[in-house]
Amino acid sequence: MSLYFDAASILTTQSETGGSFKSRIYNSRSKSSPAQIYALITETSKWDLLLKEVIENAGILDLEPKLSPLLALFLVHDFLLSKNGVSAPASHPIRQAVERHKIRLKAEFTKARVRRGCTSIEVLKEAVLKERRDRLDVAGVCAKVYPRWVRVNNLRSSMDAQLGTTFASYKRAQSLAELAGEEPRVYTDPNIPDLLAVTPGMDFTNSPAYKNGEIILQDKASCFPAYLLVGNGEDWEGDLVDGCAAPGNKTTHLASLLAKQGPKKSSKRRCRIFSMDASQARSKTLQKMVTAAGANDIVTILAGQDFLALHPSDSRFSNVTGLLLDPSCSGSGIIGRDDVPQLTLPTSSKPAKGQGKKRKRRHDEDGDQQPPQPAKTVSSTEENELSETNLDIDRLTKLSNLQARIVEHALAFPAATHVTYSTCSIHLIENEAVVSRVLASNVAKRRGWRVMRRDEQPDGLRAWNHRGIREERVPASASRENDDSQPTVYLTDEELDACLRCWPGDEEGLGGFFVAGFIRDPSLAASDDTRVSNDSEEEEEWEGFSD
Amino acid sequence: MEWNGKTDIVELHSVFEAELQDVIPICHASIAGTRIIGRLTVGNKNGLLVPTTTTDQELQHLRNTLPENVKIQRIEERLSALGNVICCNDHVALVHPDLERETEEIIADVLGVEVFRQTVADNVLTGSYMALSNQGGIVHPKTSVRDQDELSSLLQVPLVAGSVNRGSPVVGAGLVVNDWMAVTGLDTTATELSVIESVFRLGEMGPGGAGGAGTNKESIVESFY
Repeated sequence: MSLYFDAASILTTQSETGGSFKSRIYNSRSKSSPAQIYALITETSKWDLLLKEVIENAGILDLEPKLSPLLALFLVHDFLLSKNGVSAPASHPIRQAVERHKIRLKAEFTKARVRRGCTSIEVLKEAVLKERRDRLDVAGVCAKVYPRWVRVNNLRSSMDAQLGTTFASYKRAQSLAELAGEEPRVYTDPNIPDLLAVTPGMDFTNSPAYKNGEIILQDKASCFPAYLLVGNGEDWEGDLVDGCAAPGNKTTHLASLLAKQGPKKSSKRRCRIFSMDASQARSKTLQKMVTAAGANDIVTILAGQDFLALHPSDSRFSNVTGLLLDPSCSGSGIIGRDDVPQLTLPTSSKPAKGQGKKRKRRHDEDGDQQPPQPAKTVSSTEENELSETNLDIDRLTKLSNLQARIVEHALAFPAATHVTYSTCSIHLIENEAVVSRVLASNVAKRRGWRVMRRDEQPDGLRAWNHRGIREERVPASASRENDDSQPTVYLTDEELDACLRCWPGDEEGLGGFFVAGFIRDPSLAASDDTRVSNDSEEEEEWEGFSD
Repeated sequence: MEWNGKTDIVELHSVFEAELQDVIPICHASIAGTRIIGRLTVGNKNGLLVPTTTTDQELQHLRNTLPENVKIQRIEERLSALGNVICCNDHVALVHPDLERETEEIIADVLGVEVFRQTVADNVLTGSYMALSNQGGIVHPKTSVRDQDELSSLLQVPLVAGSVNRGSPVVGAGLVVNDWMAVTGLDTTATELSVIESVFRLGEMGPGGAGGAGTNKESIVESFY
């Protein structure tokens, strides 16, 4: 059965391919069911510390050349903790490799349990999870609280209604730090309206409020762009475009903000939102999210529509004043929650054996479809370096070209006055560098675009302290690689102050994120809009990135 | 009990036979030509393990004598004094950490127990430094409280640190115990006996049910004074 090999290869090949953990599992061409692999990996990751102890004490890695540390972790997990045991035929070599040691493994497992003073597996599970949390705390990875962010959808509900129902039993916290405990607490975010932070680990996916679309689970950072674009939504006029919309959280956020306009403006023409995504598959998700949020009547979805292929002078968009752009990025700022679980691997006590034997073993492994284990062990502390070491300048350059292209395309919309650009990347080249490129572009100069200054931003964002940076901020460990190509950007202090940043691992409880807003100031325009059509012809020459 | 002189053995047999012949069948046997049965073998209600030095005749004799449902197996183990390296009751065995993996498997199979590699107060000879029944156990007097707790939760029986034969720490070798009686060396003091009685819950139950062994135990204890 290839389940264990599939699971191991998903974790070991993580450095080469992008994408979230789930998508990597679902896209992998493995024989076993993705759900099974997912369950195996997540369950194993909960027990990894204990299993490491069991495997090391049982000393099976020295005796079973077929077992890589990762495979051993999965197999021993299933052997000891799964209801049905190892899901492989009884004669399969890897199953035999584990079951040969069943007495020792069971004994070490019991001893590990007894050592923790637990009377049953359930109690042990609690203890192990706590141990894991504590350990990660010590390692400094999860030292900060990453709360569960919940946005209240104004189309279906309101903040007060939700605090009175879904969160009625929750204690109010006065700061993010108070969310650290086990007790359910809720904290009202000071920066973004309608946003709540809830004790991590709370599961809303079964709550009626979530199912009805009254609340939407959306990270705080990804609430920035919509709020930056339309503010409280009350004074907004004109249509909106979300150019790279899937999965649709930002679109529904826009809709939710506009809902505040309420019926008083009903006499006037209601704002519309055009939401599109170049991928058909992801457009389906977008459609689902928009329907769930009850935003169907103000959102028009252009499924599979590539934003770059839109003609700015299309009559549908003649009234588009605001564009929200969140193009694909390296995702280097994304942290933890849905990401690949980091397993602590057991180590073999005797690393070197006879040379001849070792060579034979290597051969053995190759014949056995076992992907070679990367030399470095993945541990919970290496999360950040991981993305740094993969920092592929080529890919980042391509991405930033695409991003700048998309923003410049947005600036060409005839009625546009506001544009926001955001990424979930921490790299300068995808963020401030793009802003600087965009400001220097022809279309920006000709039509009088400038950044949305801090004093023009909505109150909550004006108060946000993390602003743009001029030089790449790299972890010390990765600085060597970037020494020669250390990029800097040429933006004024005012312009940098206009960019909003979030950093993973700080006290705000967010992942890495970047937002900047652009405003069209006709007084700065070099000439009138007559050349727009020319401009869009230029756009079409561009052949697109296969990214 | 570490007996090896022939006269001692005869005396021992006569003591046991005198006290137990109506209660337990007593089988005379040798292992590898010696009469050190207790230290060389280990067993419980499910089975008996004998060392590799046991001859075929001896093995056959044991098979003929013991009930059929008791499995008997001779094991190839370098540490041949099985009674010293393995300590077990009907559910759990604590074994010397250097025992072969195959031996562990056999112990688990034949004796029907969970096998834990353990030390008792940093001694590897678990069988020597620990006496165990299904009711309780006594361990080396210097076993730390923490180790006692850990062992006790592994074994699921109460444990106590104690001695036999007037302060000897070798409790496993100085004491024979089953679920209803114990036999200790002559030097064992009254305090040691009372500790043993209480932790093994002797006198609370007997072969014929609770209280049945009361009189038996009395007579045995008396005969040793």
